[in-house]
Amino acid sequence: MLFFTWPFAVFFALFYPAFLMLRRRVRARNVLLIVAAFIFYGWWDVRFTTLLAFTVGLDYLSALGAAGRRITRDQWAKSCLFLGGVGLAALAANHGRQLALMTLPVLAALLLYTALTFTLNRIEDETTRRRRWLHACVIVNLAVLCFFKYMNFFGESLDHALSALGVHLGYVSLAIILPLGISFHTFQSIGRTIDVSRGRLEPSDDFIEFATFLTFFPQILAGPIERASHMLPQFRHVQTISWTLARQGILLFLWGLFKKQVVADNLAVLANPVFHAPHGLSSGELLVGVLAFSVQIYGDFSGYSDMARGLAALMGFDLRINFALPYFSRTPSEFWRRWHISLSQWLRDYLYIALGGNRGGAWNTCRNLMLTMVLGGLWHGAAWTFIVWGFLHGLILVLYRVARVDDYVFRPDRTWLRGLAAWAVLMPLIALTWTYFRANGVETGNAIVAGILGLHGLAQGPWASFAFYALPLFAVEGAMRLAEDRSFAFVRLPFLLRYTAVVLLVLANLVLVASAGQQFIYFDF
Amino acid sequence: MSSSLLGRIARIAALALWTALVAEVFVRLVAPQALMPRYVTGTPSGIRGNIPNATYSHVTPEVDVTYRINSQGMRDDRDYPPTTPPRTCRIALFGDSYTIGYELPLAATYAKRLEALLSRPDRPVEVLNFGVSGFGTAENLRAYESVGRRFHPDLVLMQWQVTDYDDNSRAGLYRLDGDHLVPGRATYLPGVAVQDRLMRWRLYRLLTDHSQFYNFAREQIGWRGKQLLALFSKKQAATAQDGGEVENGDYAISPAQIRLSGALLLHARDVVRGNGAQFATFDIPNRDLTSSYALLPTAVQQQLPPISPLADFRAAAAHGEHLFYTTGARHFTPLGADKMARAMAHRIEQDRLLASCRAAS
Repeated sequence: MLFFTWPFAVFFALFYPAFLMLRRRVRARNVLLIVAAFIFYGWWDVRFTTLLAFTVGLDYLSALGAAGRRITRDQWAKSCLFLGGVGLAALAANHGRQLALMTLPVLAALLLYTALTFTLNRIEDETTRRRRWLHACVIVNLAVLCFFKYMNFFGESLDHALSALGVHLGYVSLAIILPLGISFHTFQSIGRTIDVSRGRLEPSDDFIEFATFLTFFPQILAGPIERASHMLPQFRHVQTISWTLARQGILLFLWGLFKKQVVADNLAVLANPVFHAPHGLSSGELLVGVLAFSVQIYGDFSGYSDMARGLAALMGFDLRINFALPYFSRTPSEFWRRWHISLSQWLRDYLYIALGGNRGGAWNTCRNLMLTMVLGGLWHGAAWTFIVWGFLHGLILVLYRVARVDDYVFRPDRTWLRGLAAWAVLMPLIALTWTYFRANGVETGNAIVAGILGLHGLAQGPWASFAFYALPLFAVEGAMRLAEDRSFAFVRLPFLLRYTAVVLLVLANLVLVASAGQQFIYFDF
Repeated sequence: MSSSLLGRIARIAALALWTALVAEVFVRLVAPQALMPRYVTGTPSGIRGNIPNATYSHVTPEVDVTYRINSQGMRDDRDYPPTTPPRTCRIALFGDSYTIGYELPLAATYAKRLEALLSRPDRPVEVLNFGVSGFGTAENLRAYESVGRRFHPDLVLMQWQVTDYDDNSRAGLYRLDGDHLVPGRATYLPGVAVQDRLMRWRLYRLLTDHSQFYNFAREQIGWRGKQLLALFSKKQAATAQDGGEVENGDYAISPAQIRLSGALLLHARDVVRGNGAQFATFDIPNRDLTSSYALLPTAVQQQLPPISPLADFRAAAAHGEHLFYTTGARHFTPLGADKMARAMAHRIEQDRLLASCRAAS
């Protein structure tokens, strides 16, 4: 269910009044949110609602176990009943078809809950028990993720590598559907269990509260990857919904819609043909394609995040900011503090620091950076292009670190000229990485880069169309960037100016929508 | 009324005016829209019809066309007597905006082109254009039964287009009871009551004829409304044994819609033949030069092979010729309409569809 389609409009029109009626009764409100989340998720493919329910049940138990507690029969039963209930509902919604496919995994999952609970409960030593629960959580979650996302990639890569040595595995690619948002809720869930095991967070006994946190529908498909410490308290209390908050939510939603429907989808029309068939195109056409994709992916993903935050705000919830004007960054480390913030912080806290962070000297720091970025690349998808993308980002981070560029750029006596020069150097590098991210293969990426560097016919290409859709976005974000520094704020503008700006935003969303809407890019991750 | 309330009302009115002004300027500057008002109203037969004696224009970046509707609701400069003049053959065309000739001057419509192609000085042919924007097969059939047959056409040509699948199920004028076509609701007049009321106001007519934003908004509301209705009607129409929907161009068509449309076409043929006239269908190709007629049940395709300019369209497109406009409502160009008319004339001659009329005259 996409946020800008009729099914979602109907869904939200039915959901929101019910939410407003129940919003002061926390438990009922949370139950409504869970039911809505499963309808929202199941609209895409009802069969995968059981997978989502499985993750909820497993991570509920894991977090309690990782806190050193023994799982009670009640807690075990809650997980089992929840999964069983969702399984039955999914089977009914699927008109009883694919009985084996819909029931056997559920039965296997119930057995796994039972086996883990009774096996790990018998461990006397609390530290060992905590560790085992954490391992179980990480291993099972990653195994599910690997099966759905990486099985074919690793199988085919291994087959390819061994066939060079004369060994033929005969790996046959499986027709596996990637469950929407699996990378997001898997990371969200693992993060919570790790926080509990590290003693940073108290696990909650309240199953409904936890299920609400893990399945909150505005962010379930493409983040932000929320922290339990930020979200769980919000699900414990009645959230105030003021007119100011609702207005902010509507504005955020409209702005996200503009970024997605107007900017990203229209720029996709310029980028897609270039990445589909780059051979024979001039440097200008290739460059427009690469720049168009660089803006497209930003508009697409940050647009989704804004819409998600806007919807959450309408319900009185606060989702984390996931993008903070990343294309105004001057160094790669600043870029990663501003781009997909929730993933960057997740990788920093649970991978980079776990690898040793910057504690082991320059060499180890560089190694950890490279590893984190390559794995971050792989998180996006099972393809060599994502690994190259991560590698290039790691390399850029390492080079900037070795050259101590951040120290120079962010010196207290900084001037705007120095910042501008740093920005002008960084942005082409970022665009270079996006080339590989979007390309259908590394060779295609190489061909595009080589074509651009050939510098023939730079003026050719749909520059005017690119500017038409990209410039308004950056004009507004430029003003926001200034606001960060000079306390300029939209709310301080005269009423008529603000009103006209909102009217223009609505009009752009109506008039300039691309004729061919695109699914959100990050739904594939 | 207190002054504060009056002040508030005045502020709201001023804001509404400002919004309309900003919207009009924005649309004209950023994304110029076609001005394509629809002059339709309700008819006693319970369906829409062109407003008699209306004169209006469509303006797009590519065309500026004025339409005149005669007193009988047909797009024409003159009226037609109910009885056919001596030594004259009469063809009646039923269809939607393609048939009425949106975005084409009268002489370039395929109705008039067909008339020119078939007429000889000693044996004139009259082509009566009963096209009404938005019509599907169900409304075409109702229009023939209520008005068209009064003019005693020798041949009825009924348009087929991809949108008819959806139009036919949404109209609800007929429905399938098992395999049998049965009458459905008595009337289908979407938005007509509101439009009739609005058309009485000069300000509204000014808006519909001259405001790009209004025309954009009306098209959007109509299109999104259709999407919403289609969402529900398809969910209702599809049953487990129906199987999935079929994609055709931008449209997703359900098996129930295909069966209903097939039954309607066969029924239309029987009704027309029952009145002693010949009947044929003509297929408007999709803009991607495919045909939606091929989705109809095989029996329908065999019994009613459509007049289709598709092969000619593909050959012309291969030479870079433009058969559809690229802006506005993207109907036929004069070339596209001419090829449609030639395909019709060819079939009429080949199958001797006017033979009885010519023999009589």
